[in-house]
Amino acid sequence: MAEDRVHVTIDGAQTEVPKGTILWEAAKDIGVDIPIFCYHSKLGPVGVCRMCMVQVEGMPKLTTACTTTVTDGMVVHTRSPEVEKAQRGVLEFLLINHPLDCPICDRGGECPLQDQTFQYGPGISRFVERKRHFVKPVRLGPTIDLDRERCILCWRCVRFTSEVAEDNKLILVDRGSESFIGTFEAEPYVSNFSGNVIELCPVGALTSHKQRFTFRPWELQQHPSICPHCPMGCNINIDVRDAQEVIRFRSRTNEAVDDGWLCDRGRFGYDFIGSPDRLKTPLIREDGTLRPASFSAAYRLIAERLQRVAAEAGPHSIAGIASPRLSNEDLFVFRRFLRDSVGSESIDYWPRPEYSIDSGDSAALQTLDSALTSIDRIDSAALIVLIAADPSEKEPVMELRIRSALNKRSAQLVDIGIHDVPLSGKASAVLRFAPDQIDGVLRGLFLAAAREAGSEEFAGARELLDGDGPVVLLYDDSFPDIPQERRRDALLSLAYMVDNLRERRQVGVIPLLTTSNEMAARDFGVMAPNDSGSVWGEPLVDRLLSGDYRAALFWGANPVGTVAGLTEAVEALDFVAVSELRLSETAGLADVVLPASCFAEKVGTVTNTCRRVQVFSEAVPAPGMARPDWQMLVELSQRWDNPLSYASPEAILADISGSVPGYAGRLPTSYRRVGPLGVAVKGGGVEAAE
Amino acid sequence: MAQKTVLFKHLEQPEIHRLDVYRDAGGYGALRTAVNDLAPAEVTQMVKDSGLRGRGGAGFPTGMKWSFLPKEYDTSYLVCNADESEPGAFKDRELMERNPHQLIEGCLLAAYAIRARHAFIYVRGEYLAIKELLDAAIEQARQAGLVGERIFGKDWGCEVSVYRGAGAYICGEESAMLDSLEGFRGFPRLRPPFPAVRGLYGKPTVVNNVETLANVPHIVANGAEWFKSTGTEKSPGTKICSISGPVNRPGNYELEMGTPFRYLLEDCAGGMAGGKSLKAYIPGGASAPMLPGDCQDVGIDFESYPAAGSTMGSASFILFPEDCCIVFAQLRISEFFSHESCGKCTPCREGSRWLRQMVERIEEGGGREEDLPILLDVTDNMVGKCFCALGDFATSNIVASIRHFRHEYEQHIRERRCPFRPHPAAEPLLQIAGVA
Repeated sequence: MAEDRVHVTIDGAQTEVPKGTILWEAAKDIGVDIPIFCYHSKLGPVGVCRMCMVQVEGMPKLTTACTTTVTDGMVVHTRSPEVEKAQRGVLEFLLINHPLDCPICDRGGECPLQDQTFQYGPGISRFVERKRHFVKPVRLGPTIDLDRERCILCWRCVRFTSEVAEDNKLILVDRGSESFIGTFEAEPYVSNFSGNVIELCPVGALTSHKQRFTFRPWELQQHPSICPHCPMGCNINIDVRDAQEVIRFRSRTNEAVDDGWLCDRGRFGYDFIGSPDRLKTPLIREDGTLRPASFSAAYRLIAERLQRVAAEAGPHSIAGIASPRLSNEDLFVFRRFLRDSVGSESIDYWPRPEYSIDSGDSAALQTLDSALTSIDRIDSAALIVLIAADPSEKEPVMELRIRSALNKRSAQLVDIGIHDVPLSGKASAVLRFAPDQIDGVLRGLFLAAAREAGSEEFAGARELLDGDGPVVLLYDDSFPDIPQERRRDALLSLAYMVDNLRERRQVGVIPLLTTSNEMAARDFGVMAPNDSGSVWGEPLVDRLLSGDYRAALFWGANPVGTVAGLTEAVEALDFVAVSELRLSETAGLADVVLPASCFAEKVGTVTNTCRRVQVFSEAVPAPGMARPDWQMLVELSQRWDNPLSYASPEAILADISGSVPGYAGRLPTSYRRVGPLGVAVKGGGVEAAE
Repeated sequence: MAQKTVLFKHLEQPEIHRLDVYRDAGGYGALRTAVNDLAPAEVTQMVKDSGLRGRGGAGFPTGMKWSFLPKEYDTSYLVCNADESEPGAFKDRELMERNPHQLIEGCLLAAYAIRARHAFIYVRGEYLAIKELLDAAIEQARQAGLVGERIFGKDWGCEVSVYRGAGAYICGEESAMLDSLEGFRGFPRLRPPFPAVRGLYGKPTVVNNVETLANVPHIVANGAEWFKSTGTEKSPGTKICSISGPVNRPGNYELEMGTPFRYLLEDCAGGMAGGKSLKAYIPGGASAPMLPGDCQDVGIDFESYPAAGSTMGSASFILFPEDCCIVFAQLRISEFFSHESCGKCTPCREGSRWLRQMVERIEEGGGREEDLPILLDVTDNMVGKCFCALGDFATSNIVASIRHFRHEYEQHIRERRCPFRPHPAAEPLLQIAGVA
């Protein structure tokens, strides 16, 4: 037996586990179910509910499996008469003041208290006294309603806010049997991560304000999917009622991505799916008004008008701007449609970084691309560096992963940026500078002269960068706080920094992108210009303003209303076609509008911020005649001489897998083989792991 | 065996709270000896050899507790537990009020033994006057070079700070006390790690009761053998006993360990007031099981009371006279434990409330025959299953009162009323317990 492993016998079965393993985890590994309420693998042991008591030979009394570390030769009984009496006792205690309102409780049907009472409970209660009452429900904040009578005071939510989110928002108030969960001074519970406590709650105490009393768990079908609200790609289940109605998003743990957490933007961001203002039919502008039309009429008009523009001014005068929230399949087909059918290379996505990188500077992009790492590398980093980046804003769950790495694995954080972000308080060194100084600061960290002259702040950051062990750098390449004319330099100096660090340390980078599938938009060449691969041209939206184009396709992108002067520029175009979920500002200016289905209404893949390709599945039908973008583009392309011929999204996946650099050879050709947790393609930790 | 004055010097020298009087009587001599002539480990060894056991109630050997600290550490702390929250206990109060320097010297000696440079005295919130008195005494000692840097000109120095709790029984539990001292709400901590390894601010920490520390200067001054010559073999030394209830002279009495309770009651407290007989008594504060009034020959020490079915605890004797209703007394005790449960673990939080509700119902005339077995079974579901020992404490007198006075419970249930009402005899208890 290796020195770092120990033997334990649980209910007669022997197993070998690493030293330091919690007894409950050791039992779970060999399929022994020990009931728990307070314990949770993602939270520190606390030992308060007393449900997991077991008998350990040689110990004078029962002990809690969630707080006991396995020692070599330990012999454990989880089903002895003493243990069973203790379990019945604890369940009886938990239920005496519980309202037993399972028939109307949101949690009824998926409630650990209900389930474990059936399995381990006493069956009857001997309690005839007056139950404890609380005012209920209590609105803790915008998202959470609390039923204090159902609460069993397991501390999970309190520990989540103190250990994971570290905002310490939820606390125990009062004492003894009058204890309840609340917030300090009853201030509202406002957090980026509040929804997680609903899932952590082992009873129906913490409920979603939005969903309370609107469904029963057994009515719901679960569909594995990917959160569409940022490029982190947190795994979710979409819970659907009657195959029609999206009821909620829940986390679907993927250790490589989300560690089991969701942010509130993701968890509660599903209203758009079933929204009544979704487009249900194509629209064609007649006499200045958009009126419902058939797909064939819409396709006919788009083809006619684009072909006329191409004949008069050349195909490149047709601009195609896609949204980076489209799926890989949609983006890939959009790219092919524009280039192969229409013949235009005028393609871009929006929103995107508002600066360009010349081909002379392409080495910088290559440096950053080659250093791309996977999210879970944060866990093993010795040093985490933020460069003008706020993970909490861009990819919120990244904040939790960073906190976890800092707390559990003694990593250190350096925050180099313009202003404080929520993670700044965790930083061992903070380096602040004026927005136009980023280039000098990042390069100066590696220049002897500047190093001598730098401030104390500067020296603190430098010292940590000079240390040992793997580094993960997180940056936001849209550089929102840096003046526009300095953003290119910022990116180049970042690459310079990576090059220099790499000489001594293992370096991984994670870009904090803006939109869910932005990485794929770049990988698939949906970025202008496209002739030299990884080089970024001037944003096409800016060129629209200067009148370089005659017609435009906006595929899910809605820059009008955000970009100043764009309304006039779009109105001046000969022809505008838009594919959208709703009648956006841009769609309002279109000649033809196509109704698109959203991510929950189709099958497809997305590529996350670290190039992990993950699958989402069809959870609900699209409204009316709405169709997937790839399908509309394939249908539309039939009116050109070079039509596209994909019969299914899987056929597109196979084409991506065969033709996109970095994806080829790594991305399986079927959704089944991509699997429920996705696969990493180029970068994304693949190189580092090999 | 009888009364013996070691810790209660103020009975002979009422002015001993003054630094000059304390020093004239030999005070701070033990500290001078230790700092000048003894290595820290030698002080620990002396205390170990003396057989001194913790006076807070558990009776754990003090020297052994000190030797549990890791071999090497930079920072350690000494914490004096002056929370004195056990109903019936009021001995630490007198020790601090009347002879503060004895405690301060004890704290400094213990701190020296564990190489701590900061000692904290955690007093219960109600002891505001005592805090002020201790602060003044510490300031006097500081002026005299006895507290602070370079005590007796040596490299070692020690600060002493007094901290007031906010009124929670749980904060008398040593790990909860550390939470409270750190500024958090007091909850007992998971063990291991024990405070000796990771205590206050995560550093090795020793927590000792006031009376325990007050003994240390005497042991260092007079030697382990001298200490062992008093008391019993396994419970050496003297014990301050608090006696309350309807006796002629309630108060604190210092007795040699092993002195029978009868001596405390009759010779010290002057017997029961008004010629009443003793129905029952609790020897160690509300957490110790009550005994029938005829158990008067039990020796006051750590061994004899467990043999008699109870525990000496902090030697806080609460007496119930013949006309006292045991169910009503038990209700007061159960109210205390229900009120003071910290709420951290399920069995104590829910069980202590349920027990209180059941006893209340029986006392109010709503008892049922099946209630007694339920009461006992609920205690069984609590004992040994709670996060800390305070859960067990909430059960001990339920079990003891039913064991010894089952007939009173049955009478309540049968007659559907309390046969002792009104309850004149319970009033003093009620005031002392502070749970009215």
